[in-house]
Amino acid sequence: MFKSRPKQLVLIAVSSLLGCLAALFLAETSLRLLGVTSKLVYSPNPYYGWGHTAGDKFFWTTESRELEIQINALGLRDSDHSYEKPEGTSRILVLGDSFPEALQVRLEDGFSKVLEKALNVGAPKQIEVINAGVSGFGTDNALLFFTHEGFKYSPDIVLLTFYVGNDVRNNWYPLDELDSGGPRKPFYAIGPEGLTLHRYPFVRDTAWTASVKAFLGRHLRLYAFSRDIWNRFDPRLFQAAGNDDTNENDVEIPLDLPLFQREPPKDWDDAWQVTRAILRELRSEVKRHGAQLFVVTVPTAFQIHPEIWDERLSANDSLRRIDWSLDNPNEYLSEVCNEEQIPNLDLLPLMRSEARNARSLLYFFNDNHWNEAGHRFAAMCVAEALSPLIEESHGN
Amino acid sequence: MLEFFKDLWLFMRERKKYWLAPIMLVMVLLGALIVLAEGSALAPFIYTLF
Repeated sequence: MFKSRPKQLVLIAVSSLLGCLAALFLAETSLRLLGVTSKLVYSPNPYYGWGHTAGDKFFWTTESRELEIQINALGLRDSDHSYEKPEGTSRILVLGDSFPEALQVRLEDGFSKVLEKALNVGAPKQIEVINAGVSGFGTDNALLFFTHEGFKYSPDIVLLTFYVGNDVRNNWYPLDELDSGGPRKPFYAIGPEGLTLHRYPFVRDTAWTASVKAFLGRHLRLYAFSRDIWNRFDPRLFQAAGNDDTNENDVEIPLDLPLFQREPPKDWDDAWQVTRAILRELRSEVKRHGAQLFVVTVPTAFQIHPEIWDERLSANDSLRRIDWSLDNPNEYLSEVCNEEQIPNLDLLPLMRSEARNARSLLYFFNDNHWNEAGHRFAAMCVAEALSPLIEESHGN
Repeated sequence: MLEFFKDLWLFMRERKKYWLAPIMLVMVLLGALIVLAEGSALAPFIYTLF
Protein backbone atom coordinates (compact mmCIF):
# COMPACT_ATOMS: atom_id res chain seq x y z
CA MET A 1 0.00 0.00 0.00
CA PHE A 2 2.67 2.52 1.11
CA LYS A 3 5.78 2.75 -1.04
CA SER A 4 9.22 2.79 0.61
CA ARG A 5 10.98 6.20 0.78
CA PRO A 6 13.66 5.50 -1.90
CA LYS A 7 10.99 4.20 -4.25
CA GLN A 8 8.93 7.31 -3.61
CA LEU A 9 11.91 9.56 -4.34
CA VAL A 10 12.60 7.71 -7.60
CA LEU A 11 8.95 8.10 -8.56
CA ILE A 12 9.02 11.85 -7.87
CA ALA A 13 12.27 12.25 -9.82
CA VAL A 14 10.97 10.29 -12.81
CA SER A 15 7.62 12.09 -12.87
CA SER A 16 9.35 15.50 -12.55
CA LEU A 17 11.65 14.60 -15.44
CA LEU A 18 8.70 13.48 -17.54
CA GLY A 19 6.88 16.69 -16.57
CA CYS A 20 9.85 18.78 -17.72
CA LEU A 21 10.07 16.87 -21.01
CA ALA A 22 6.34 17.26 -21.58
CA ALA A 23 6.66 21.00 -20.84
CA LEU A 24 9.45 21.40 -23.41
CA PHE A 25 7.51 19.37 -25.95
CA LEU A 26 4.40 21.52 -25.41
CA ALA A 27 6.43 24.73 -25.67
CA GLU A 28 8.04 23.59 -28.93
CA THR A 29 4.64 22.58 -30.36
CA SER A 30 3.07 25.90 -29.29
CA LEU A 31 5.83 27.91 -30.97
CA ARG A 32 5.36 25.93 -34.20
CA LEU A 33 1.57 26.38 -34.07
CA LEU A 34 1.97 30.11 -33.41
CA GLY A 35 4.27 30.41 -36.43
CA VAL A 36 7.31 31.57 -34.42
CA THR A 37 10.15 30.83 -36.83
CA SER A 38 13.84 30.40 -36.20
CA LYS A 39 16.00 33.41 -36.90
CA LEU A 40 19.21 31.43 -36.46
CA VAL A 41 19.81 30.99 -40.16
CA TYR A 42 23.35 32.35 -40.53
CA SER A 43 26.60 30.40 -40.45
CA PRO A 44 29.89 31.86 -39.21
CA ASN A 45 32.49 32.72 -41.86
CA PRO A 46 36.10 33.31 -40.76
CA TYR A 47 36.78 35.91 -43.48
CA TYR A 48 33.73 38.16 -43.52
CA GLY A 49 31.88 37.26 -40.30
CA TRP A 50 28.83 35.24 -41.37
CA GLY A 51 26.62 34.48 -44.29
CA HIS A 52 23.91 32.20 -45.59
CA THR A 53 24.33 28.54 -46.39
CA ALA A 54 24.15 27.78 -50.11
CA GLY A 55 20.84 26.18 -51.07
CA ASP A 56 19.29 26.77 -47.62
CA LYS A 57 15.52 27.06 -47.28
CA PHE A 58 13.77 28.44 -44.20
CA PHE A 59 10.74 30.35 -42.95
CA TRP A 60 10.89 33.97 -41.80
CA THR A 61 8.14 35.80 -39.93
CA THR A 62 7.68 39.56 -40.05
CA GLU A 63 4.73 41.08 -38.21
CA SER A 64 2.77 37.81 -38.27
CA ARG A 65 3.43 37.14 -41.97
CA GLU A 66 5.46 34.04 -42.72
CA LEU A 67 7.54 33.78 -45.89
CA GLU A 68 9.52 30.88 -47.26
CA ILE A 69 13.05 32.04 -48.08
CA GLN A 70 15.26 30.30 -50.60
CA ILE A 71 19.02 30.92 -50.58
CA ASN A 72 20.68 30.45 -53.96
CA ALA A 73 23.43 28.01 -54.90
CA LEU A 74 26.14 30.59 -54.10
CA GLY A 75 24.74 31.53 -50.68
CA LEU A 76 22.87 34.73 -51.57
CA ARG A 77 19.25 35.68 -50.88
CA ASP A 78 18.60 35.91 -54.60
CA SER A 79 17.74 33.85 -57.66
CA ASP A 80 20.64 31.92 -59.18
CA HIS A 81 23.57 33.81 -60.72
CA SER A 82 26.83 32.43 -62.03
CA TYR A 83 30.20 33.96 -61.17
CA GLU A 84 30.82 34.36 -64.89
CA LYS A 85 29.19 37.46 -66.33
CA PRO A 86 27.04 36.69 -69.37
CA GLU A 87 28.13 38.30 -72.64
CA GLY A 88 26.56 41.72 -73.28
CA THR A 89 25.38 42.19 -69.68
CA SER A 90 26.16 44.92 -67.16
CA ARG A 91 26.25 43.82 -63.55
CA ILE A 92 25.41 45.61 -60.33
CA LEU A 93 26.43 43.95 -57.10
CA VAL A 94 24.37 45.13 -54.11
CA LEU A 95 26.22 44.99 -50.79
CA GLY A 96 24.71 45.79 -47.42
CA ASP A 97 22.70 44.48 -44.50
CA SER A 98 19.14 43.32 -43.90
CA PHE A 99 17.69 46.12 -46.07
CA PRO A 100 18.87 44.72 -49.42
CA GLU A 101 18.69 41.16 -48.03
CA ALA A 102 14.96 41.85 -47.65
CA LEU A 103 13.83 38.73 -45.79
CA GLN A 104 10.66 40.62 -44.81
CA VAL A 105 9.24 40.63 -48.35
CA ARG A 106 9.03 38.20 -51.28
CA LEU A 107 12.15 38.09 -53.43
CA GLU A 108 10.44 39.77 -56.38
CA ASP A 109 9.27 42.65 -54.13
CA GLY A 110 12.74 43.29 -52.72
CA PHE A 111 14.98 46.25 -53.54
CA SER A 112 17.37 44.40 -55.89
CA LYS A 113 14.70 42.73 -58.03
CA VAL A 114 12.66 45.93 -58.36
CA LEU A 115 15.83 47.83 -59.23
CA GLU A 116 16.75 45.27 -61.88
CA LYS A 117 13.30 45.48 -63.42
CA ALA A 118 13.35 49.29 -63.45
CA LEU A 119 16.83 49.50 -64.98
CA ASN A 120 16.00 47.06 -67.77
CA VAL A 121 13.08 49.12 -69.06
CA GLY A 122 14.31 50.41 -72.43
CA ALA A 123 17.95 49.58 -71.63
CA PRO A 124 20.16 48.90 -74.66
CA LYS A 125 21.99 46.19 -72.74
CA GLN A 126 20.80 43.59 -70.20
CA ILE A 127 21.38 44.68 -66.61
CA GLU A 128 21.73 42.07 -63.88
CA VAL A 129 21.40 43.08 -60.24
CA ILE A 130 22.90 40.65 -57.72
CA ASN A 131 21.69 40.87 -54.14
CA ALA A 132 24.50 40.15 -51.66
CA GLY A 133 22.85 41.76 -48.61
CA VAL A 134 23.25 39.90 -45.31
CA SER A 135 21.62 40.84 -41.99
CA GLY A 136 23.93 42.53 -39.53
CA PHE A 137 26.58 43.42 -42.08
CA GLY A 138 28.48 46.65 -41.52
CA THR A 139 30.67 48.31 -44.15
CA ASP A 140 33.54 46.21 -42.79
CA ASN A 141 31.70 42.94 -43.55
CA ALA A 142 30.77 44.33 -46.98
CA LEU A 143 34.41 45.16 -47.78
CA LEU A 144 35.61 41.74 -46.62
CA PHE A 145 32.80 40.02 -48.52
CA PHE A 146 33.74 41.92 -51.66
CA THR A 147 37.43 41.01 -51.44
CA HIS A 148 36.64 37.31 -50.89
CA GLU A 149 33.49 36.67 -52.81
CA GLY A 150 31.91 39.74 -54.42
CA PHE A 151 34.64 40.47 -56.96
CA LYS A 152 34.11 37.01 -58.50
CA TYR A 153 30.87 38.26 -60.06
CA SER A 154 32.84 40.87 -62.11
CA PRO A 155 30.41 43.70 -61.35
CA ASP A 156 30.48 46.98 -63.27
CA ILE A 157 28.93 48.85 -60.37
CA VAL A 158 29.09 47.98 -56.68
CA LEU A 159 26.15 49.48 -54.86
CA LEU A 160 26.65 49.75 -51.12
CA THR A 161 23.52 50.36 -49.07
CA PHE A 162 24.60 52.16 -45.91
CA TYR A 163 22.02 51.92 -43.11
CA VAL A 164 22.56 54.83 -40.74
CA GLY A 165 20.59 52.97 -38.06
CA ASN A 166 23.53 50.71 -37.17
CA ASP A 167 26.26 50.55 -39.83
CA VAL A 168 28.51 53.09 -38.13
CA ARG A 169 28.32 51.07 -34.91
CA ASN A 170 28.87 47.79 -36.78
CA ASN A 171 32.15 49.18 -38.17
CA TRP A 172 33.71 49.96 -34.79
CA TYR A 173 34.29 46.85 -32.69
CA PRO A 174 34.09 48.39 -29.17
CA LEU A 175 30.55 49.56 -29.95
CA ASP A 176 29.58 46.57 -32.03
CA GLU A 177 30.61 44.14 -29.34
CA LEU A 178 28.33 45.85 -26.83
CA ASP A 179 25.54 44.46 -28.97
CA SER A 180 26.93 41.07 -29.90
CA GLY A 181 28.19 40.42 -26.36
CA GLY A 182 31.66 39.59 -27.66
CA PRO A 183 33.76 39.20 -30.80
CA ARG A 184 31.85 37.98 -33.85
CA LYS A 185 34.04 39.00 -36.80
CA PRO A 186 37.46 40.41 -37.82
CA PHE A 187 37.71 44.15 -37.16
CA TYR A 188 39.37 47.23 -38.64
CA ALA A 189 41.22 49.89 -36.68
CA ILE A 190 43.31 52.87 -37.62
CA GLY A 191 46.98 52.54 -36.70
CA PRO A 192 50.09 54.53 -37.62
CA GLU A 193 50.03 52.87 -41.02
CA GLY A 194 46.39 53.65 -41.69
CA LEU A 195 43.55 51.12 -41.76
CA THR A 196 44.58 47.71 -40.45
CA LEU A 197 42.67 44.45 -40.24
CA HIS A 198 42.79 42.50 -36.97
CA ARG A 199 41.64 39.14 -35.64
CA TYR A 200 41.71 37.76 -39.15
CA PRO A 201 40.64 35.13 -40.01
CA PHE A 202 38.24 34.92 -37.11
CA VAL A 203 37.08 31.59 -35.75
CA ARG A 204 34.27 32.15 -33.25
CA ASP A 205 33.45 28.64 -32.13
CA THR A 206 35.21 25.36 -32.35
CA ALA A 207 33.80 23.22 -35.12
CA TRP A 208 31.68 21.05 -32.83
CA THR A 209 30.09 23.84 -30.74
CA ALA A 210 29.26 25.75 -33.93
CA SER A 211 27.60 22.71 -35.47
CA VAL A 212 25.66 21.88 -32.27
CA LYS A 213 24.38 25.48 -32.11
CA ALA A 214 23.52 25.46 -35.80
CA PHE A 215 21.67 22.15 -35.39
CA LEU A 216 19.68 23.39 -32.37
CA GLY A 217 18.92 26.71 -34.10
CA ARG A 218 17.63 24.99 -37.19
CA HIS A 219 15.59 22.24 -35.57
CA LEU A 220 14.41 23.56 -32.19
CA ARG A 221 12.25 26.67 -32.32
CA LEU A 222 12.39 26.85 -28.54
CA TYR A 223 16.18 27.24 -28.67
CA ALA A 224 16.00 29.86 -31.44
CA PHE A 225 13.21 31.73 -29.64
CA SER A 226 15.13 31.76 -26.34
CA ARG A 227 18.27 33.11 -28.06
CA ASP A 228 16.20 35.80 -29.74
CA ILE A 229 14.57 36.85 -26.47
CA TRP A 230 17.92 36.83 -24.67
CA ASN A 231 19.36 39.17 -27.29
CA ARG A 232 16.41 41.54 -27.17
CA PHE A 233 16.47 42.06 -23.44
CA ASP A 234 20.18 41.83 -22.87
CA PRO A 235 21.08 44.81 -20.64
CA ARG A 236 24.25 45.35 -22.66
CA LEU A 237 22.02 46.80 -25.37
CA PHE A 238 21.61 49.91 -23.30
CA GLN A 239 24.31 52.31 -22.33
CA ALA A 240 24.26 55.49 -20.35
CA ALA A 241 24.44 58.61 -22.44
CA GLY A 242 26.81 61.32 -21.33
CA ASN A 243 29.67 60.76 -18.91
CA ASP A 244 30.50 57.77 -16.74
CA ASP A 245 29.45 59.33 -13.42
CA THR A 246 25.93 58.27 -12.73
CA ASN A 247 23.61 60.98 -11.56
CA GLU A 248 19.92 61.61 -11.71
CA ASN A 249 20.27 63.28 -15.12
CA ASP A 250 21.72 60.17 -16.74
CA VAL A 251 19.50 58.70 -19.42
CA GLU A 252 19.38 55.10 -20.52
CA ILE A 253 19.38 55.10 -24.29
CA PRO A 254 19.41 52.20 -26.76
CA LEU A 255 22.81 51.43 -28.22
CA ASP A 256 22.44 52.96 -31.68
CA LEU A 257 20.66 56.17 -30.77
CA PRO A 258 23.64 58.30 -29.59
CA LEU A 259 24.62 58.67 -33.26
CA PHE A 260 21.50 60.80 -33.69
CA GLN A 261 22.37 63.17 -30.84
CA ARG A 262 23.42 66.68 -31.77
CA GLU A 263 26.74 65.90 -30.11
CA PRO A 264 27.36 62.13 -30.04
CA PRO A 265 29.75 60.71 -27.41
CA LYS A 266 33.48 60.35 -28.28
CA ASP A 267 33.23 56.65 -29.25
CA TRP A 268 31.13 57.63 -32.22
CA ASP A 269 33.88 59.92 -33.59
CA ASP A 270 36.18 56.90 -33.63
CA ALA A 271 33.46 54.85 -35.30
CA TRP A 272 33.07 57.50 -38.02
CA GLN A 273 36.83 57.67 -38.59
CA VAL A 274 37.04 53.91 -39.13
CA THR A 275 33.92 54.01 -41.29
CA ARG A 276 35.46 56.66 -43.53
CA ALA A 277 38.68 54.65 -43.88
CA ILE A 278 36.71 51.47 -44.71
CA LEU A 279 34.71 53.33 -47.36
CA ARG A 280 37.94 54.62 -48.88
CA GLU A 281 39.37 51.10 -48.91
CA LEU A 282 36.18 49.70 -50.45
CA ARG A 283 36.30 52.35 -53.18
CA SER A 284 39.93 51.37 -53.98
CA GLU A 285 39.17 47.63 -53.98
CA VAL A 286 36.15 48.10 -56.22
CA LYS A 287 38.19 50.28 -58.59
CA ARG A 288 41.02 47.73 -58.62
CA HIS A 289 38.51 45.20 -59.94
CA GLY A 290 37.40 47.56 -62.71
CA ALA A 291 34.09 48.64 -61.16
CA GLN A 292 32.68 51.79 -59.61
CA LEU A 293 31.34 52.22 -56.10
CA PHE A 294 28.00 53.91 -55.47
CA VAL A 295 26.71 54.50 -51.93
CA VAL A 296 23.01 54.65 -51.08
CA THR A 297 22.21 56.04 -47.64
CA VAL A 298 19.32 54.11 -46.08
CA PRO A 299 17.45 56.10 -43.41
CA THR A 300 15.83 54.62 -40.32
CA ALA A 301 12.06 54.27 -39.96
CA PHE A 302 11.98 56.87 -37.20
CA GLN A 303 13.68 59.45 -39.45
CA ILE A 304 10.97 58.97 -42.07
CA HIS A 305 7.84 58.50 -39.97
CA PRO A 306 7.45 60.96 -37.06
CA GLU A 307 4.85 58.65 -35.49
CA ILE A 308 7.51 55.94 -35.07
CA TRP A 309 9.89 58.41 -33.43
CA ASP A 310 7.09 59.56 -31.11
CA GLU A 311 6.41 55.93 -30.22
CA ARG A 312 10.06 55.46 -29.26
CA LEU A 313 10.02 58.61 -27.13
CA SER A 314 6.82 57.48 -25.43
CA ALA A 315 8.36 54.08 -24.67
CA ASN A 316 11.28 55.78 -22.92
CA ASP A 317 10.28 59.19 -21.66
CA SER A 318 13.80 60.10 -20.55
CA LEU A 319 14.84 60.27 -24.23
CA ARG A 320 12.96 63.57 -24.43
CA ARG A 321 15.69 65.19 -22.32
CA ILE A 322 18.29 64.61 -25.05
CA ASP A 323 19.13 67.10 -27.77
CA TRP A 324 18.48 65.18 -31.00
CA SER A 325 19.48 66.01 -34.53
CA LEU A 326 18.04 63.12 -36.50
CA ASP A 327 19.49 64.10 -39.89
CA ASN A 328 23.07 64.37 -38.59
CA PRO A 329 24.37 60.92 -39.66
CA ASN A 330 23.02 61.30 -43.20
CA GLU A 331 24.52 64.76 -43.62
CA TYR A 332 27.86 63.58 -42.30
CA LEU A 333 27.91 60.51 -44.56
CA SER A 334 27.16 62.70 -47.59
CA GLU A 335 30.09 64.91 -46.60
CA VAL A 336 32.37 61.87 -46.29
CA CYS A 337 31.28 60.53 -49.69
CA ASN A 338 31.83 63.92 -51.33
CA GLU A 339 35.28 64.24 -49.83
CA GLU A 340 36.18 60.68 -50.83
CA GLN A 341 34.70 61.23 -54.29
CA ILE A 342 32.21 58.42 -53.97
CA PRO A 343 28.87 59.01 -55.73
CA ASN A 344 26.14 58.96 -53.10
CA LEU A 345 22.36 59.10 -52.92
CA ASP A 346 20.73 59.90 -49.59
CA LEU A 347 17.21 58.45 -49.55
CA LEU A 348 16.20 60.45 -46.45
CA PRO A 349 14.68 63.57 -48.09
CA LEU A 350 13.08 61.56 -50.90
CA MET A 351 11.47 58.98 -48.62
CA ARG A 352 10.41 61.57 -46.10
CA SER A 353 8.53 63.60 -48.67
CA GLU A 354 7.04 60.45 -50.25
CA ALA A 355 5.78 59.27 -46.85
CA ARG A 356 4.32 62.70 -46.16
CA ASN A 357 2.71 63.17 -49.59
CA ALA A 358 1.43 59.65 -50.10
CA ARG A 359 0.50 59.33 -46.41
CA SER A 360 1.68 55.76 -46.45
CA LEU A 361 4.13 53.73 -44.42
CA LEU A 362 7.35 52.79 -46.22
CA TYR A 363 8.51 50.65 -43.29
CA PHE A 364 6.90 47.92 -41.23
CA PHE A 365 5.74 49.58 -38.05
CA ASN A 366 7.40 47.23 -35.55
CA ASP A 367 10.02 45.46 -37.61
CA ASN A 368 11.31 48.79 -38.97
CA HIS A 369 12.61 47.40 -42.25
CA TRP A 370 11.17 48.52 -45.58
CA ASN A 371 7.80 47.10 -46.53
CA GLU A 372 6.95 46.47 -50.21
CA ALA A 373 6.22 50.16 -50.80
CA GLY A 374 9.57 51.11 -49.21
CA HIS A 375 11.53 48.67 -51.38
CA ARG A 376 9.73 49.84 -54.51
CA PHE A 377 10.23 53.54 -53.80
CA ALA A 378 13.90 53.15 -52.81
CA ALA A 379 14.62 51.07 -55.94
CA MET A 380 12.97 53.62 -58.23
CA CYS A 381 14.98 56.48 -56.71
CA VAL A 382 18.22 54.50 -57.03
CA ALA A 383 17.41 53.48 -60.62
CA GLU A 384 17.09 57.13 -61.55
CA ALA A 385 20.31 58.08 -59.77
CA LEU A 386 22.23 55.21 -61.37
CA SER A 387 21.28 56.05 -64.95
CA PRO A 388 24.39 58.15 -65.73
CA LEU A 389 26.69 55.45 -64.30
CA ILE A 390 24.89 52.75 -66.27
CA GLU A 391 25.25 54.72 -69.50
CA GLU A 392 28.92 55.13 -68.69
CA SER A 393 29.32 51.37 -68.16
CA HIS A 394 27.44 50.66 -71.42
CA GLY A 395 29.89 52.90 -73.20
CA ASN A 396 32.87 50.87 -71.91
CA MET B 1 -6.11 35.20 -11.94
CA LEU B 2 -4.15 34.70 -8.72
CA GLU B 3 -7.06 32.63 -7.38
CA PHE B 4 -6.80 30.36 -10.41
CA PHE B 5 -3.12 29.64 -9.81
CA LYS B 6 -3.78 29.08 -6.12
CA ASP B 7 -6.48 26.52 -6.97
CA LEU B 8 -4.17 24.86 -9.45
CA TRP B 9 -1.44 24.55 -6.85
CA LEU B 10 -3.87 23.12 -4.28
CA PHE B 11 -5.07 20.61 -6.86
CA MET B 12 -1.51 19.49 -7.66
CA ARG B 13 -0.68 19.18 -3.96
CA GLU B 14 -3.86 17.29 -3.12
CA ARG B 15 -3.49 14.82 -6.01
CA LYS B 16 0.31 14.76 -5.76
CA LYS B 17 0.58 15.62 -9.45
CA TYR B 18 3.73 17.70 -9.11
CA TRP B 19 4.79 16.74 -12.62
CA LEU B 20 2.20 19.25 -13.84
CA ALA B 21 4.17 22.11 -12.27
CA PRO B 22 6.92 22.41 -14.94
CA ILE B 23 4.29 22.28 -17.69
CA MET B 24 2.31 25.13 -16.10
CA LEU B 25 5.45 27.13 -15.41
CA VAL B 26 6.82 26.81 -18.95
CA MET B 27 3.49 27.64 -20.59
CA VAL B 28 3.00 30.77 -18.44
CA LEU B 29 6.61 31.86 -19.08
CA LEU B 30 6.31 31.25 -22.81
CA GLY B 31 3.06 33.20 -23.02
CA ALA B 32 4.58 36.14 -21.17
CA LEU B 33 7.69 36.12 -23.37
CA ILE B 34 5.68 36.02 -26.59
CA VAL B 35 3.62 39.02 -25.44
CA LEU B 36 6.75 40.92 -24.34
CA ALA B 37 8.63 40.08 -27.54
CA GLU B 38 5.78 41.39 -29.68
CA GLY B 39 5.84 44.75 -27.94
CA SER B 40 9.57 45.26 -27.64
CA ALA B 41 10.82 48.55 -29.04
CA LEU B 42 14.19 46.91 -29.59
CA ALA B 43 12.90 44.30 -31.98
CA PRO B 44 13.66 46.16 -35.20
CA PHE B 45 17.37 46.40 -34.67
CA ILE B 46 18.37 42.97 -33.63
CA TYR B 47 18.31 39.67 -35.36
CA THR B 48 19.97 36.79 -33.59
CA LEU B 49 22.84 35.68 -35.79
CA PHE B 50 24.18 32.51 -34.22
